[in-house]
Amino acid sequence: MNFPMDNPFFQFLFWLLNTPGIGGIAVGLIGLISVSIYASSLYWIARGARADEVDTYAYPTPTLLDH
Amino acid sequence: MLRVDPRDKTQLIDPLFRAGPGFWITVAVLLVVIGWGAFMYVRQLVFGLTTTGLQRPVYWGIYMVNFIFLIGVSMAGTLVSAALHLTGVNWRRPITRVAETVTVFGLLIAGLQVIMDMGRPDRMLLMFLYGRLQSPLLWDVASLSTYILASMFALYISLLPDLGILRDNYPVDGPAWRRYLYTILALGWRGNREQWRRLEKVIRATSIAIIPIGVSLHTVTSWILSTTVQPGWHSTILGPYFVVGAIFSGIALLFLLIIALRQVYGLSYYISPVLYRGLGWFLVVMSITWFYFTYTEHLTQVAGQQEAEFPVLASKLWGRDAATFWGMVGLMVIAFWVLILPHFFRDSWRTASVFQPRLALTTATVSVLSFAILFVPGAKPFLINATDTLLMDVGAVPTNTELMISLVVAGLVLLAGISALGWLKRNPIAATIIASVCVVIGMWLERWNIIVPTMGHPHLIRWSSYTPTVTEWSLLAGSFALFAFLFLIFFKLFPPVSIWEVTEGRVIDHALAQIEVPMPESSTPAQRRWRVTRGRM
Repeated sequence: MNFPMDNPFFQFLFWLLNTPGIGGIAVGLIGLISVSIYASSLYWIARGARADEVDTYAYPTPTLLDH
Repeated sequence: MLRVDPRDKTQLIDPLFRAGPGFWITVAVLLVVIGWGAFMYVRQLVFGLTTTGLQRPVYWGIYMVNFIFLIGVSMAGTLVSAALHLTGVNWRRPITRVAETVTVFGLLIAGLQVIMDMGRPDRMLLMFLYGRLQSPLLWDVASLSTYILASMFALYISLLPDLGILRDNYPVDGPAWRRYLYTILALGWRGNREQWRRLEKVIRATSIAIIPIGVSLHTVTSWILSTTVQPGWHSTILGPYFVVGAIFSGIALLFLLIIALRQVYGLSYYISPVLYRGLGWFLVVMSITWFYFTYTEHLTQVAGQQEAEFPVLASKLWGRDAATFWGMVGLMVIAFWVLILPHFFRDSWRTASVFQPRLALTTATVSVLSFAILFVPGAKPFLINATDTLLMDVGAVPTNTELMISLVVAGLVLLAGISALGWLKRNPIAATIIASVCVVIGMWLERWNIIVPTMGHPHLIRWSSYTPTVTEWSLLAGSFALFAFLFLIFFKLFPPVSIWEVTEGRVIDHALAQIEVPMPESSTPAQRRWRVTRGRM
């Protein structure tokens, strides 16, 4: 019988969608990845202060940003 | 040491360290309302949801209406700050900070509404322990978490340069803890070229990412409703309808908050009439789009004539929910009128007796009083001596007399609107405030009209009613007071206008003013050399 649920791939999808707790793990992962990206970005911006540049600016202009 | 323009220091930094009696009185009033809300919440926690008007089948009421409304207004921050940043719109600069703050606080208070609605907040943990990927509720939690984190990040990175400015221009007599706070939060910001480049890249990437995240949150919230088979919700249009309503209400609330900040902080130099015009036209576009979607949403119900769906529609049009439905429509019509029609008013018409504000005020008062006396909400179904329970719910179709009276009242409202046109044209800010108040209240009613009529007309049950209790109204007041309180405290700690963005805009405007733009080349054809004139033949 060619029933989709005989296929292990569809069985895996069924397990993924219906198993209690998987959703919570997914939300946790999304939160963790988001926070990691934001923390890394902040660290990267803060590290920019270490560049060997004397001049500082209170605001940018397109010229400063090479636009 | 980052230097700041003396005007910016006087108008944006110095007020952060001064607090007059007005500030403390506002804080005290808000704390009293929040305290009352907290007390009523504890009472609800102790005695359970029986203290509310919620019951089966209406298990979603004011809390969910607030949730969807607040999720909606949070869209404004995303749109104004991110979309206008990406498209390089210059008038966005003074309002981006307010817009981003509306998003963050709107989402925080929206999250609280879910906890209030749950009755038992400890059950929130079950969502994570036993949550399944197939559940739209879980998608909403995921979407809300992602959006709130992204919004907080967007607010923080745009605040970084201002934190550096605050740290370097800190008043000598300022409290030490605030200096320490700014120093920590500034993350060692120097403002060198490399830092500005990196910040620009991160802001651009965040702006690109946050728009789809925002749209996803508003559509996923609609899926909580539309993936069910409840009458009136099982619709494909609900997702875009939510997004349109979200942008509409968000822009209106943003406008009101900007006006409030302008008055409180005296920011007329930064918040100019150009901005009112920009936001005003934005509201007009959203208003037209909202009307179209509302019409489409109800058209499908009318055309379908489904046995389960039609009572929901009838209840809105002339039944138990008619007051909120027509209230919403009326407020939106007033908002549209106030925004559009003054543009067509000629100054030469001002002396005509029909365009006097006093006439507008009188006719508006008469029409409101007539409406209140003739159509007391909820009274109509009981006037009918009916045995059919369905008729008791939705009432009878309006009689010709009732329709005639409605037309007379509508005529009075129309006269009031026409009489007010001259005044509205002379006071564009007041006109936009009136329109924004109408839109904010109208959109709250719209959320009510989506949730409550459907909940009151589920499958298998003919109809049920829902009346919010004092507990729910108290928590509503407490929630909005908390929103205002967070807003007030935040702008006592940080500048309400982004200092670096407005300075950049000022420099760009000055540079553009130096450029002399030539007249366009004329396309009129040159005069013909061969001209035939009389007498030369």
